Amino acid sequence: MRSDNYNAELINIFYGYKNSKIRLNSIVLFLSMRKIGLPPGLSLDRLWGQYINRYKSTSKLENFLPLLELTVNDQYPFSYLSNKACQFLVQKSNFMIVMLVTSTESSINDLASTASDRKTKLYLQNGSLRKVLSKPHEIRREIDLLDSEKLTVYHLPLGILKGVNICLVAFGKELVSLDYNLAKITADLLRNRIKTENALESAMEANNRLSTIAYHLTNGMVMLDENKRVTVWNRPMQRMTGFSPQSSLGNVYGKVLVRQDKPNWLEEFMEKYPQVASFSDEFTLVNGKTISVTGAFLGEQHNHIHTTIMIIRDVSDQRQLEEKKDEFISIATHELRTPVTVIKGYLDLMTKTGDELSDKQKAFLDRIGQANLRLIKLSEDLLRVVRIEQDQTTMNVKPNNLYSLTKNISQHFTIRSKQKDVAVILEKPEFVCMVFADLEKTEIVVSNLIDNAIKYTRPGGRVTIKFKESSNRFTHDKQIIMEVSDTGIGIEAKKLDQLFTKFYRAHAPEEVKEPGTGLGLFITKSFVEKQGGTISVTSTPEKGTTFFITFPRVDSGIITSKKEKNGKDKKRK
Amino acid sequence: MAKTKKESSKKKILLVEDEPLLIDLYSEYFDDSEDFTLNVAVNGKEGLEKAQDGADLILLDILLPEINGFEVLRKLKQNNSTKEIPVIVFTNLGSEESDKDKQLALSLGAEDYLVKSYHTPDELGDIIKEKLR
Repeated sequence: MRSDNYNAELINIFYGYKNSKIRLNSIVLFLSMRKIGLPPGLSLDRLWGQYINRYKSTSKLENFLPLLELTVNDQYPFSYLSNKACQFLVQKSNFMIVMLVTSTESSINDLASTASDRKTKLYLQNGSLRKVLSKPHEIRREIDLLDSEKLTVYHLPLGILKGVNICLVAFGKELVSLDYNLAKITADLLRNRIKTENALESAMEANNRLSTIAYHLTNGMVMLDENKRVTVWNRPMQRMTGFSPQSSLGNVYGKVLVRQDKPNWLEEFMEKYPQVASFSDEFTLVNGKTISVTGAFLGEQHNHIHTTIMIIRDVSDQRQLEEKKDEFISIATHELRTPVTVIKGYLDLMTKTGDELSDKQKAFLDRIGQANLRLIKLSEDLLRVVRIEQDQTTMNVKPNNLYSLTKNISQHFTIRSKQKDVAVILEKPEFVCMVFADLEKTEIVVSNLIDNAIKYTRPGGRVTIKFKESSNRFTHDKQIIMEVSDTGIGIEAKKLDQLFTKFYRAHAPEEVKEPGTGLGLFITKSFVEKQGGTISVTSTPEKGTTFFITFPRVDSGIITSKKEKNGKDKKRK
Repeated sequence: MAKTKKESSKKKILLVEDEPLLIDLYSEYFDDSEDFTLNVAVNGKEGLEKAQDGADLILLDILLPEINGFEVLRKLKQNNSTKEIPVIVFTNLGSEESDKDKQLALSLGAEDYLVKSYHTPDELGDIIKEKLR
């Protein structure tokens, strides 16, 4: 019966300390073991559970131990407790376990100064006790008290939690082995608990760091689990999609990154490119925002145990500005067409009725005409670029004879190649050169390539055009490769990558005295690729450059009869 | 200005065009031509009216005041008295490279789609002759 009272008192102490509002930096558990008695076979957590059981309906040690956490987190008070604790120690018990949250001197002083009972004060103020508590290792000491009594102190350091030293101390007047064992077992349990807490904390820290990064990113960040469900969804994503992190987490990506044209865009991509570990794409969401997505698949994709991580940027404003820019270029260049038409028309009329003109005047008119042509070419190229960028280029792909087409185009260059003394050699293929191509756009492609080749070849050099049969490396579809090679000044290897980008010129205008906008190869590449072909280039500085374009080939079986008819063509023109 | 052909044997071209600089240019060319006589309409409405008077070929601009060229073309092709007249869309809009304006014009029944700045008046004359052959 007596032990029950003690137990009740102990619990009161716990709850008293737990509920009090005063802040302090050290504290504490108590156990009056002798009075409770530990029946044989009763484990410690069942024992502790007994205490809890009185107030809560669970006997798990786990539910009790959060007290440790509370102690450290919220620095629960101890003055209230210490009064009671001291009474408890002095009057009713001869054994107590104290867990000190910190083993610094100040906390021991705090403990002493708040003890109302003189005897307790003396225990705690005793210099030898302080010495024991400041040891970093386990230690057991008998301390002489002033009134010639002896106090046994058992000190067990537990470790560091949230930067605070924690130790367990057992006090008693007549400690027996059971007391030591109990203290030891309790210490072991608490050490494990501290280890877990520390591991959890570092995990939380890592997680917090990630969340902090995600939160403060100006770009959107999304992570998906193996089922393509959202696990990370930061604030910028809310701006872009309207979905808050709370409403997005746990949803399948397609519900929050909604794309009208392709609801399952990620799966489609993964099916199409099963080997690819990263991707980037740009598309418009149903809310009208245009987003640019860069993503990576982490883990083994074919096992479906992988995470998808995506960085997402809102490019709507950028795209809108580009549209406005394109619109402006489009209007300006269309407007430009009228004056150049007028100039072109009157120049032509003047030269046709040119009897009254001197040779010098005729030469001047010729130059005005050339300048006007350059103006026309520039505005046409700009319009083409705008159409390409707005994806308004439509392709009218039909079977066309690539050789005949090239022959026609190369004839436009006869005068220029003669003037510059650059030979243009068109090699007639042994096979019928029928390809699927858009006639007008392929004319521009071929014209751009021949024009470039002549432009960057010095007098005396030559431009050679050849056709070869081939098949696509991946699809094995039949194709025709057209090679345009020159013996010109060539391009450095490091510049080749940029060659097909807009406004890029591999040679500074002062280096090569040839006009150009840097748009030709950009247009050429777009047109070739839009027709299902490819373009590539090799070059050696001072030796020359070769462009390779592929075209899908029309099945030759249908049209072999034509081959014989235009069989004899001179190879050189 | 020696004209070997009689006025009556010349082909009647109707130019629907609102830009004075271009009207002047093409008038200059066609007035001196042995093969053509030129009639000009300065907007879509006038174009439709003058087409009623008969023409061998219509050169039709697109960006016109009041009724735009595509609409004029549609109406010309709907009207029994004008639907047989070949129409060449002759404009500075779009491109000859089979893009959407060209496709629209051809689908509405235009004979061809020419961008003005691509052609000298002489070349235009040759193309018309080819069409009327």
